[in-house]
Amino acid sequence: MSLWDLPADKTAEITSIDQLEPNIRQRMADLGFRPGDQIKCLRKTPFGAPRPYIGPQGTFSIEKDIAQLVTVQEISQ
Amino acid sequence: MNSIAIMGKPNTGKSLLFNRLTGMNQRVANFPGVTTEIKSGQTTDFSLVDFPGAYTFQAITRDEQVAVERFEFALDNKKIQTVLCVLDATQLSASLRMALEVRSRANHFGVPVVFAVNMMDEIKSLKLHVDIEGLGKALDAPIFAISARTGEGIKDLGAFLRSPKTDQVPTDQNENFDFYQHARELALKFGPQTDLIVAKKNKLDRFFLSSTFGGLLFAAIMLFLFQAIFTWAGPFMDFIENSIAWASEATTGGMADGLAKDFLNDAIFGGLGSFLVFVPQIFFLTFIVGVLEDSGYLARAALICHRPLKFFGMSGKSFIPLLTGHACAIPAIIAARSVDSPKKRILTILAVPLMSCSARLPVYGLLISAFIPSVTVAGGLFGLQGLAFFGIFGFSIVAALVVTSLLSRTTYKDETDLPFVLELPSYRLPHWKPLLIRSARSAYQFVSKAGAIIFTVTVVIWALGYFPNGSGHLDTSFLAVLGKAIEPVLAPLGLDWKYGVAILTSFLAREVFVGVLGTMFGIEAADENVDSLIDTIHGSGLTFASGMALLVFYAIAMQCVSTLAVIKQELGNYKAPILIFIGYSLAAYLCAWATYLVFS
Repeated sequence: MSLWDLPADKTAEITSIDQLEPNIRQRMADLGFRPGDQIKCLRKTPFGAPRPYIGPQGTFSIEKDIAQLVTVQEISQ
Repeated sequence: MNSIAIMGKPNTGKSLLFNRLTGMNQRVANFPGVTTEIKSGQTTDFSLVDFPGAYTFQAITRDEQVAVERFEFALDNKKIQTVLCVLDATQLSASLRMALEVRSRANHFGVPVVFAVNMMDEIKSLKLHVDIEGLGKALDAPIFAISARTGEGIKDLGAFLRSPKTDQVPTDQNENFDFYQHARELALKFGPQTDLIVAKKNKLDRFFLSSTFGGLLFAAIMLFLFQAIFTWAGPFMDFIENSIAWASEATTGGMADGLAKDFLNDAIFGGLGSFLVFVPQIFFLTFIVGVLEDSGYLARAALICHRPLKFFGMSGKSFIPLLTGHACAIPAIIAARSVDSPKKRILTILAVPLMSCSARLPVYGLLISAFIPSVTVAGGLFGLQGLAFFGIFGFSIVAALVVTSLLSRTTYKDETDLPFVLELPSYRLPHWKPLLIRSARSAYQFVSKAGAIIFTVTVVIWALGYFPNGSGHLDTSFLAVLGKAIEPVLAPLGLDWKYGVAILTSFLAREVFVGVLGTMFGIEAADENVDSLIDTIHGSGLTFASGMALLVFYAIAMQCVSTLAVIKQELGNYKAPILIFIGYSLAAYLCAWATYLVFS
């Protein structure tokens, strides 16, 4: 599934960021969003606003256009 | 003298540390990317250079490239003898990622690095632990646990920086060294769990980012901001107004009638005095915006605003420049550098001059006080005048959104764009002292910068209005001859030549409007009691429709030479500022005309 589909309070492992444009892929990797990393959706936001995600390098809000291109695998807890 | 560069990831408190060490008062906020310029300061023993924070040396945008190049140039040319790398103890892994890269670059040029682990006060208050000694050994560098906020550890760090050790062994890291992996391992070994801190520090997001109240809270906070400018500043404004009246009476009361007395009453107390009344509003505006910045809420506001702003061609990151633009367009246009997408940055710069900056406050304040009754509505919850303020500010914002949304779909359609990814800082209590200093300084700058222009213009206007026939004969003065020449242009707005003169002179600086009107009415009235300008305007026969037209005109018109100069500097061409000036002035006139027709 895509990162945008990850429900609030659920953790997933990033499986691919290859769909992102090279520049954006580079930036996301620098910010700690790489395949193999765990990422958690902190909450859903009003008006389809960017959602806050916690990754290994801190909390970042990511907009829908990007989150939809990041593929993740939900980790069952 | 030793020169020390401060480097690190964004929002680690570098500028606050810089202020602590140098005693300066550089702009700080709890938002990543506040420092967009390289700034330097001196202590008696060393000089400090504050570089903008970066997540990585892999620059993507032009500004990131410039920052990286300048840092490396300074290292290469021995302009820097030591690098002070700041880490955020509450985000150790992310800070270390950048810190390792900084150390590698610095060592490559033979420059030693000192580490300062900041925000230790928060680690303590959360009852967590960072193994500073162990981390220092692993990094093979001097390391200090500090809190730039409380001052903890600053003395030791300062003492060390006065005579830093320079025998650091360069680390041999090949190109494939994985900074990222290494940073994670170090953070796991020596620091607390980041997600533990996030969970504890960001509880407030439950409210501020809630899908039900998030939007409502945002609107409530903005409404509160504008209400506060009017209501909190009220008593202080009354105090200043009374003091000026008292000073006027005390100085001119015993003077014989004549030129000197008329000059003091009309130009000084009537002109310059009318403008000083609005200083408290500028103080409160800067203060409240500062509280929002320091608390960490602004990053949430940026997030909530992102979708709507994106629709209008900007980004959530544009929210900060747009809000800052309500104090002054100049820092706001510079702050637009933190909008990393080049396209959205240009559009943000074009939108900022339409925000209701503090120079417009005196004009709004005067017109609103003169035309909107001072009553409360909604069961005493809101003042009608405060709501009118909110309304005119809202109008400017809508005007800006119309402009950016048109341009993003036409002129700037093919400009390079970048997506929205923004770090959310933890909520923190504001740094009260620097905030109060900053607010006081902005009020002072408002007075000192605009004061000189206003004084000059008022004196010239007074002389033109006073001669040749003296007090009480404004209608036959030199000024009237000039003013009546431009009267036909303003007749469609229901304004007479006096307002024409005030508008024309305010192209030098908007605040001049109030001073010039004060002076002219002073000459016209020719009596000893200087009525408050608000009452005078009210009694001058200016209609409600014309008052509203004036408000709309000032909301849109581009009447600030400094703003145009900064736009030229940031966009690197003359075309943009010239087009902005012509476009916004024309739009202002047409909208004012439409407003007059609607209300009359």
